[in-house]
Amino acid sequence: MKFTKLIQNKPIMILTFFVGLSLGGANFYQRQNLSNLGYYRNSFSEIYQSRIKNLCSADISDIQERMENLRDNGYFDESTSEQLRNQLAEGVLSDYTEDKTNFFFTVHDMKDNLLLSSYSDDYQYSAVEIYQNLKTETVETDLTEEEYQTFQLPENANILDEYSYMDNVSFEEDENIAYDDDLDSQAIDEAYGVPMEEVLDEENLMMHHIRYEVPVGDDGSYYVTGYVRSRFDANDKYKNLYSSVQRNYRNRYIYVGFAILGGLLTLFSALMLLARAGLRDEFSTVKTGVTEKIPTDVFSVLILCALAVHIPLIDDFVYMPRTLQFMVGVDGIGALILWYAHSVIVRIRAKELFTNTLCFKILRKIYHLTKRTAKAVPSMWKMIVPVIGFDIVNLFGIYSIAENETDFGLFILISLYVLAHAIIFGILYDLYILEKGGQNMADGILDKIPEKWLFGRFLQHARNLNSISEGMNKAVTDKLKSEMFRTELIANVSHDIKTPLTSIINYTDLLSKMNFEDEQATEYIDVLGRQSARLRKLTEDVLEASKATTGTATVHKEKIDFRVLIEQIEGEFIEKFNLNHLTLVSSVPEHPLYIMADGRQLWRVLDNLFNNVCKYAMSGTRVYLNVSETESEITFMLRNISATELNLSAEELMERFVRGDRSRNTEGSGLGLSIAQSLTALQGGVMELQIDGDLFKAIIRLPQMNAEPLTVPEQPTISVAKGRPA
Amino acid sequence: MGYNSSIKYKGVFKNTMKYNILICDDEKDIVNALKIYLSKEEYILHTAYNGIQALEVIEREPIDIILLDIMMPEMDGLETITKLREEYNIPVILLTAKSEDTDKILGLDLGADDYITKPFNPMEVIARVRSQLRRYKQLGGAPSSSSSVYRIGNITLDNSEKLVTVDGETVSLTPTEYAILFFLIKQPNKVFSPEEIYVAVRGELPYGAEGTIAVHIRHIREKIEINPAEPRFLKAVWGQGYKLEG
Repeated sequence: MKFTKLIQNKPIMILTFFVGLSLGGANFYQRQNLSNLGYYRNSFSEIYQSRIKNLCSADISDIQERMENLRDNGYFDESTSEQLRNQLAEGVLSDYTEDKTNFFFTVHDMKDNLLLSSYSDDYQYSAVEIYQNLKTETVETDLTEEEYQTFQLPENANILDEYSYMDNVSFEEDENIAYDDDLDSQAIDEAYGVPMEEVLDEENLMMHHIRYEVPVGDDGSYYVTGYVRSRFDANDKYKNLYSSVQRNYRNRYIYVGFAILGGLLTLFSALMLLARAGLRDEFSTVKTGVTEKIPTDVFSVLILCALAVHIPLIDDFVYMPRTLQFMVGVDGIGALILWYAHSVIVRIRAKELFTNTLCFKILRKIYHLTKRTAKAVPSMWKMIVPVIGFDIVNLFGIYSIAENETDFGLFILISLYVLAHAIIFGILYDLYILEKGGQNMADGILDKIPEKWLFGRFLQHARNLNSISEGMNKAVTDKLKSEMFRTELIANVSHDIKTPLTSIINYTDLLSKMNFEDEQATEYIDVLGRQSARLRKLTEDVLEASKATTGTATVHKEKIDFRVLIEQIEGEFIEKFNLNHLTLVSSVPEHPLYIMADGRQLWRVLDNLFNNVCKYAMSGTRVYLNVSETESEITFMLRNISATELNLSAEELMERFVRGDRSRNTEGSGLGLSIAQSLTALQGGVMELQIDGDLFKAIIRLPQMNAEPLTVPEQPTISVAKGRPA
Repeated sequence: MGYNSSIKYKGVFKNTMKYNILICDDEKDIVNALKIYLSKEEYILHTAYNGIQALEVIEREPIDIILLDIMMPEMDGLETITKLREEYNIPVILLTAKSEDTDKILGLDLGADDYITKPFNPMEVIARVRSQLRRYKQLGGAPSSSSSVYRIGNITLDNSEKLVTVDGETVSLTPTEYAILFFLIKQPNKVFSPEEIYVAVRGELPYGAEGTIAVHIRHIREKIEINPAEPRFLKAVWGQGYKLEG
């Protein structure tokens, strides 16, 4: 738990980041420097080379002045000089053990007589020695004092030979190896031909020397030779450097270890910081910081500039290790990269990486400006301008071909060709979609036109059509709802009417059974009885009509024999016909006539027609019943002579509440034919009425079994929609 | 709507004891009208104006038959009949303004014995009350073990005596009508086409039989049904034929 809290602590993580980076950077640098050992090896050689050069080019007058100074102040002693000269004569090696320097110089004349030697690397000290020795040896040399005073080391002093531990490799060529990034010292060893371990072994530093020829006048020259002490045991600054290099080389694995440890710390803390970049503690909302106020692209450029400043700090490898400088460089670059990565992650999480850029903002501004301008352009121009543009490009293509720029011209024309095809296909497809949608709408299928693949003006058109269809859909639904509501209302009302009607009928009946003195009272009671019975019939018919016409009546279709139905209906009515002196002449096929229909509803239709005949046919006439069939339908026809003049059209008879004779006050609601028509339609059939003078014809056409329903001239639902309130 | 008058119920059915009838309707005028009609038949009449009152009366009095309205406040007829049937076996006749088939079926399924739709003919009500009482009080026993006796609803046909009775009253049928009824009662609830019926009874029909099967059926219906326009037993299946439903 503690550790979790620790890694969520931002300052501690930042601290860890820098500690890791510094540790890793410093150790990496140390290890990296080890691969630059060649520099140090070079430097040993170069250092004593330059010593000798300095010696040769010493300003004699300046030295002389200093020497006089010494002599005047009693520092100079003839005997000392003598002693020194003797020592030198005894041999170079005897002085080599001196504890002052690791470098040693000798000057010989042309006959290889030793003129002087110095075991100091201190310039002034050497100069004193040289002067001293030169002075004492003047008589024995060919050089005059004057010549010595004006002595200058010529620019062309020849290096006669050169002995170093790097016999066959020149310094200049080695520089490349010194910069090699490879940390493996093996490569360097191979390049120098001597293993590093051996080079640094004191035993092998045996009297390496370098010899210069310094010409003096025309007669001759003298030779300066530089030596390096073989055991390298004097504690001068070179020795110290050498020791540190040696130490570093021994510790090279420790550097690697610390470098890796520092790297891991850095990586871990960076990941911890980046993982929580821009998130609050609940890991829910993204919170942008001050940095995120700077546009991404501007921020990127700023970070790049800052990096450019820091990179030389780590790139500039020099002779001397500059660990602190490298650490500053590494820390700076690390901090910049971390900052940048952190900010980028926050921007991604806040979904503003690209939106919060200066470029994006400028482009958006341009886009809006263009859009606004385009809106102002009249819509006709929007069609014309692309066509003109197309033509111009096309002409340009043709022109290019004419000017023998065939490839370019063909490229343009083919591109245009492909583009035009794509556009034409798109337009044709969109037209197809719109056409289909429109056709559906015309057919009454109010589905929405899919807008997915439509574009531009087609899309707008589709949307317009869709909103029309939506409106129509709503209107139809509302209509249906109101129809259903009306049917329900009629049902409820007729139920409510029935209760008081029951009382009226019952009490009228009770009255009719009483004895009244007044004959008129009996007559009035008769009227009450008749009218209440009529009211009752009306109530029932209204309910039935509303159900039949709105299609709320349930139809149970089954296979029935129409011939049986006719037989049954005849049986029901034959006596009633006889009573009215009507003769039924029927002609029905002998074989069964199967149809799919609701028997009860079809019976209601025929019952209605037969009742009408009983009521309105002229007494003493014949009533003709014909049933015929074709392949697809069965036709039933009932003909009778009307007792009264038919002053109404067939259409009017079908209308609700209209009866053949308004004058006669018979029972019935006038709904009979309307109900019959609606019920016939529910069976998939058609009912027609024809009036020819006094001849009344009722025709019912029904589809044969398995045949398509017959087309109904007028849809029942629509006729109800137009109908008067019942 | 001419109601059949061929059933002679008046004075034919005599009973030594008086029956208790409960009339239950929220419409007081209807209750009163029914009281007037039924009082002529020497019943003891009880009234209630909703289902709760009806159940109270049934607890209190030895009710023999109930006339029950469906649409009532407090507790409607259907709920009343459900409650009632938990304890009592009394005949219940529903009085309803709802003329839909589904309403009738629901009422009968819940335990009603008969139903009458409003507006009703008082004579029909009286006939149905009488019919139910007879069945409940006198004919409620097990059907006769004799193989020659057939019973559908309130209709009994005794083939050994060639006798048809409705609610215990003898009905006079022509030989053809008897043959048709006998054929149908042997296989109740099965629909027979007019042709099948004709073939089955032809042996007993003299040549040149007057009228068709449909006419005979109508005649039988007028003799055995209380309301021939709405037959309870001898039903026409339009376009298919006829059946005797029990």
